[in-house]
Amino acid sequence: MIKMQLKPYSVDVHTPILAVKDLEVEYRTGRGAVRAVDGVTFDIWPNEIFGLAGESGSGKSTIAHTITRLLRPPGYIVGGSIQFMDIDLMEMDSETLRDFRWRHISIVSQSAMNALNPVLTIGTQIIDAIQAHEPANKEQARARALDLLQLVGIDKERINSYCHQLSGGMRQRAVIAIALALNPELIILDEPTTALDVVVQRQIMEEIQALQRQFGFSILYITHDLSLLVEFAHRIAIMYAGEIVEIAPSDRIFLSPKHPYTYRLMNSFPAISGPRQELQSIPGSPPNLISPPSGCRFHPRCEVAIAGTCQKVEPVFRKVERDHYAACHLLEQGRSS
Amino acid sequence: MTEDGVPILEARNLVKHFHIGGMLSRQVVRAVQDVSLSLYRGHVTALVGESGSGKSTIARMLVRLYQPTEGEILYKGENVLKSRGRQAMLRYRSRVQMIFQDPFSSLNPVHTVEHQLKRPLLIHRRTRSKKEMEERLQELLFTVACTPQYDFLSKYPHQLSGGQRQRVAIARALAVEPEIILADEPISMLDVSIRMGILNLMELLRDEKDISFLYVTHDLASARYFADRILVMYAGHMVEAAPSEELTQNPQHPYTQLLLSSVPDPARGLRTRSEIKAKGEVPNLSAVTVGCPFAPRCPFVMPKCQESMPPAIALSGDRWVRCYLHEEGTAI
Amino acid sequence: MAESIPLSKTASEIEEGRALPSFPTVGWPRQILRSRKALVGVVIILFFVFLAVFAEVIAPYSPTRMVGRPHQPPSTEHWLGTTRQGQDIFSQIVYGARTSLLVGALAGTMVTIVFILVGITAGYVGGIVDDALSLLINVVLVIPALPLIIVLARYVERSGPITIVLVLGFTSWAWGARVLRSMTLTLREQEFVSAAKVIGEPTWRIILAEILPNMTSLVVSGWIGAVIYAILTEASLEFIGLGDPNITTWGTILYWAQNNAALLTGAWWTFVPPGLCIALVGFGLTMINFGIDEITNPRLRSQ
Repeated sequence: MIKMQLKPYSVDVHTPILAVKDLEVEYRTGRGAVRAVDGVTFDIWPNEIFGLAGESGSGKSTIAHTITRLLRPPGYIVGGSIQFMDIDLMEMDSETLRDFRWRHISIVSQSAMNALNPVLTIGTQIIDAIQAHEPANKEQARARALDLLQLVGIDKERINSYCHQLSGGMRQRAVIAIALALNPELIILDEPTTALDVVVQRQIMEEIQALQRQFGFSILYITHDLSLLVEFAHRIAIMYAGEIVEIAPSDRIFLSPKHPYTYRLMNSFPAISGPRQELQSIPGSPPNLISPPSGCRFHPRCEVAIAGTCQKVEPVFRKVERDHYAACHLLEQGRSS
Repeated sequence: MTEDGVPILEARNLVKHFHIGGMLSRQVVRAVQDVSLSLYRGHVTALVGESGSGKSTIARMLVRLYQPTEGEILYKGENVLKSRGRQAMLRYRSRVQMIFQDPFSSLNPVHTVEHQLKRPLLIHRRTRSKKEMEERLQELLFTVACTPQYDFLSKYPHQLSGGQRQRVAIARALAVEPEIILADEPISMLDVSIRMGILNLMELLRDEKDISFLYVTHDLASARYFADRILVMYAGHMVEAAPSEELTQNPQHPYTQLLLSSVPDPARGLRTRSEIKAKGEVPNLSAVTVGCPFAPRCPFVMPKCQESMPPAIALSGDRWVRCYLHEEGTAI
Repeated sequence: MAESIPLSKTASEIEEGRALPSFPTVGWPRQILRSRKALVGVVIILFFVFLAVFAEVIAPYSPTRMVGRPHQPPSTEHWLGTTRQGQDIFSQIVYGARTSLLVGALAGTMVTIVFILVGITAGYVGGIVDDALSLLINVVLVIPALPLIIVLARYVERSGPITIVLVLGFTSWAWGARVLRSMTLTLREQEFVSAAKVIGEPTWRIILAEILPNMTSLVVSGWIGAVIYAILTEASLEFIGLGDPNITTWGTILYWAQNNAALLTGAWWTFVPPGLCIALVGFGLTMINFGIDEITNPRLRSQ
């Protein structure tokens, strides 16, 4: 039996920080409506790092934009609800939303490094973010900015640097500092380290992990890098073609994936240690989201698909084991996938 | 595993400096400093490093997109940089080809797949008749598993997926029947579930056609998977070389150890090797440095590390490392 | 292992926020017609081209002969009235279309050829050649065009449409050159250019067959802009008397109208029609350019 180092986390049994239910988002293009997110449901609990894994076209980035209400036409929310600790996010008007954003939910996105304003120092940008939401004066905001820089590992003198004077890793840390500025309860990380080198990536991920333990905020961590999620997230949801196909604690995803797509995805990452294995890629391409495949969306590419059933009937997302959910016909019939 | 034969492509003491700034500036970026490597028939060599390490620059010098500032490139023993004229260049280009990182921009958006595959065949006069050309196109697309072929020929790049574009790019490189293919981060911009397919395709080409690959990547895990030998680059210097399994299971240079510790590894709890942490970041390549470029970050730094660049020191098992920690070994 | 050609690419691209390619997508001529603005423009231009091509058939009279009573307002025999010299204005407009459009097209083409050559060379070759050409571009840009054109036209002995075409050709290419140079600089760094080199493509083929086709929309809209400019400037030159007053163009009609004190006498039919035609052609061409803009920058597309 392999012993895995389990990450301890406490599940607060009361309210989830974020409750997404049956969310549906579509993009209206000239060729038809693309159902980027088609009935997604998940909860994020306090003090939890929740990973959302998927490839391009899976809908994961759309979810990030939808939660922060940053979705723009041609994207439209067409169904479902998003609750933040019992507050309905979709009903919020723009005034309340502006105040709410950043104070309670902040986001670090992939192009965040380039989203920093090149003509302002990073100090100014952090201070601006603080002052936009809190009645702090310049000195107080500046003091807090210095604290934040220290927290994320940037030298205090750098408060007066412009972003072109900072390396990629530092810029991303600056963005994280801005995201932390108001002590939000939930931080969304959307591919935060994709553009960074692997050494810097680890440094930043470990720093974020330390900050999370220190302050107890929750994280929605969206990325295509499943191996990173297994290391850093408590629970992981796997998205495919706009739907969630599996949710489980990270060690279960690694040791015992239930959905065929999860299994194949886990096996798309060559191992750096342990035995060398022959790996295969998943045949075919991600499906057309304007008219997705009938039944289970993964069936055209699934090698263990049951003839007839998988093609015609959509599998139901249900509990497989404790804390472990998946949507696959093979599980319903009691077979192992 | 050593190849006892003569290397098919050899680079000796390559140096590349880029002059930046306008005409009046003297600033120089030392992208590659004194790098030597050898490629052997039917072998895959990985060139691993972070961005700015110089690995892509080396590949571009080997494919003659950049002119080295110093150093030699030998193809089957013959110094390639000395030869002049278009014919010599064309001959080299028919032997050494390249696959690029971004499948979205390595195919010209205004030309069909057919056009892009025909060009190398026409330039190098590989076919003698229209019929032969058509057969060759079919064959190429078949080799890279783009079937049915007629579906692909008339398509434009934007009508293909990332994986398909990369396959077409590989087909284009194969058209001239090269002996060596330099693959510059060929999978890093592809979807995760497609990457292995491309690596497996390259492995197949290596097995069936005896093609030599230089696999440039920042991803040590895929380098371990695909390559026979790994060369590690840091700030323009090559710091370690070893067979891939040994390098990834038993790295000797502190930087390699750092790289390995940083790679995401779901099975981290099982590792026996100790982890190494280092602060700081890759140095500025326009500054002149004396000594080992990794010294500022190295947890094992010694005074002599900052005085001079360590020589390449041979270790057992066809490995060498540039680090004073191993000075007991013999310098190469 | 066959892979199907996916339509899901749109979803992926939107998902990743990747901008749709800024180079014109293939098949853009057809797409232009989908834009309402462009369609309006095309209709207008086709109308005038039709007039120009079938002038002999459409015009009821010769434009130069005295065929009616002088200075008559529009009537059933002379739809747009007559000039001071008794010429039929409608026929003049129809024949004038031919010369005006031809001069515009020729000058525009000449300008385009020059700016393609200068712009691409400067952008692709780089180095000293680029520095020299950029200097030239900047100098030509800074020189005030109309006064220069007037001076040049004045110098030439025999003025006329050919002269005007040449003068325009030598002076109005700078802006297009600058735009193409920029685009070439960007395209030069694209991996398909490196790939072409690695395959062994000669430089001239890379410029003509790899880079230039990616700039067709810029070239076409540059050409259209040059044509607009040429038609307007030609009319201006002729209006102030620098053209050949004996050749019928819209500009010379205006010249004669001015000469015959049309404003004072209230003979609006001698200057409104040609003015309107020039304006309409300019408008139509601009609309087509908008259509091209909409395609290359999808964000401008109306939903």
